[in-house]
Amino acid sequence: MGFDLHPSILPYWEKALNSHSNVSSWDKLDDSNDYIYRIKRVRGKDILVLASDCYEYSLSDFFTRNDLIGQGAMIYMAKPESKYDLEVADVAKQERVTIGMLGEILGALNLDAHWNWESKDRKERRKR
Amino acid sequence: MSPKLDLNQILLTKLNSFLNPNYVNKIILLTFTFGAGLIGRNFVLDLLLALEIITPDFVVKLQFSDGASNTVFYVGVVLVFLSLWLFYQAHFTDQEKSSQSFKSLKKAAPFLIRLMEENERIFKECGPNSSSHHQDELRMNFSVWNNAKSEIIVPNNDQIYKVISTLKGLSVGESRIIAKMKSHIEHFKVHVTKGHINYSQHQFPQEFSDLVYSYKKVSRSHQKKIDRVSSWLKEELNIVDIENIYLFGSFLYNENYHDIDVLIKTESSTHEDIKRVALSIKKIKSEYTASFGEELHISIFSELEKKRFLEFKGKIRNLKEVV
Repeated sequence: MGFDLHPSILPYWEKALNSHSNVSSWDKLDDSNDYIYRIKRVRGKDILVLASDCYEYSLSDFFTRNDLIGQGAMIYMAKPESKYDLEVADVAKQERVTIGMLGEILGALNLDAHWNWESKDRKERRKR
Repeated sequence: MSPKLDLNQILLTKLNSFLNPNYVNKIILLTFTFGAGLIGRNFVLDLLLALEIITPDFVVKLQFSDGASNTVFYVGVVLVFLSLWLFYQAHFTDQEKSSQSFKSLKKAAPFLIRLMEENERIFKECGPNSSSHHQDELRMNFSVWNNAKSEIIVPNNDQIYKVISTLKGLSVGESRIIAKMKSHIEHFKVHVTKGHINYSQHQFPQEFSDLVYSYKKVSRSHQKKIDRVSSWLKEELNIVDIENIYLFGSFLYNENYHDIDVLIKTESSTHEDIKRVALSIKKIKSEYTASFGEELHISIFSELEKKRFLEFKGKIRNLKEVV
């Protein structure tokens, strides 16, 4: 966990938030360990999203995640080349946390129980 | 745009022109103009100093000669030719050099590193930084960045592309990484010329930088630092469940590394154990930052994630085994 992200990543993410139909506003929290965004939604409660710099999001990363990322929060895998295992996604789901890549997070922002939603990509991964 | 923003934009543009001077073209233009001016001066003077009065009865022809005019004319000619030669050297010789082929990636590494370092410097100084609370400044930064992209990074990328396209005898691993880099350059160029094209899935592949830098020999002092970090990790991460520790990434061969990448495989196979070990590692990571003022970027895999660990490890070209 940390701030090791390519400088173009967060502006792109912020631009995506600005044009999201269910995001009314957002701000970046002043956190010393991670990039964390508080997103106010048009429909639904506010959501905290952690932009992770992990190459591969593992169980260890989830179990030692930032204390602010509790129930209803999201973990955005910000590096385009990063990955996460389905097992960690399932553990996160039990704690009502969504883990996903950009498209998955943007899709999940439309939902209240976003941790229950699975992208087409993730469903296909389960079949394999 | 606010007055403060205007001022910032002017200062940033000045900073950019200071950091990325284009003196060569300016000197060439000045030389050419001066030379052309000297040549032109002769013709104008000849015109002004020649007087002819032609009548049916007589013809008066006055011709003043300027002793120095021939010398001035030739100096002008020399300056014009000099500017043309400089223009050729500045704009065509570089292209010829860049199209040279190298026998291997290792031999091309110094040439590629020079170009990548310039791109990196431009990116760090002018590139987009997240400034969520100042949207106007973000836009302004983008205007400087847009200029730097098309004027400096794209031409540098073109040179990199030419070189890596002509390399032969590449290993499978090198070919895979070079294909990624070529894809990045192609998409980046399209992104620059057609701004709305998203290239986020084709960002600069760090693997390429790691690969090229791996051919650069590190200094003795940096090697000592690698050994020191390695010993520290070995001593501090003396936890029962830890199976392997590796160092990887730019720290191993680039003295301008961003952080220290560490790969850890644990033998933990229950969620409780994974959490316990991960918390211990997290604490040690904080101690390292507090002691050395640098960040460890740690990737941890448990026994439950062994397959992922092997895949991840398999993709890393250079690893230094610590434990």
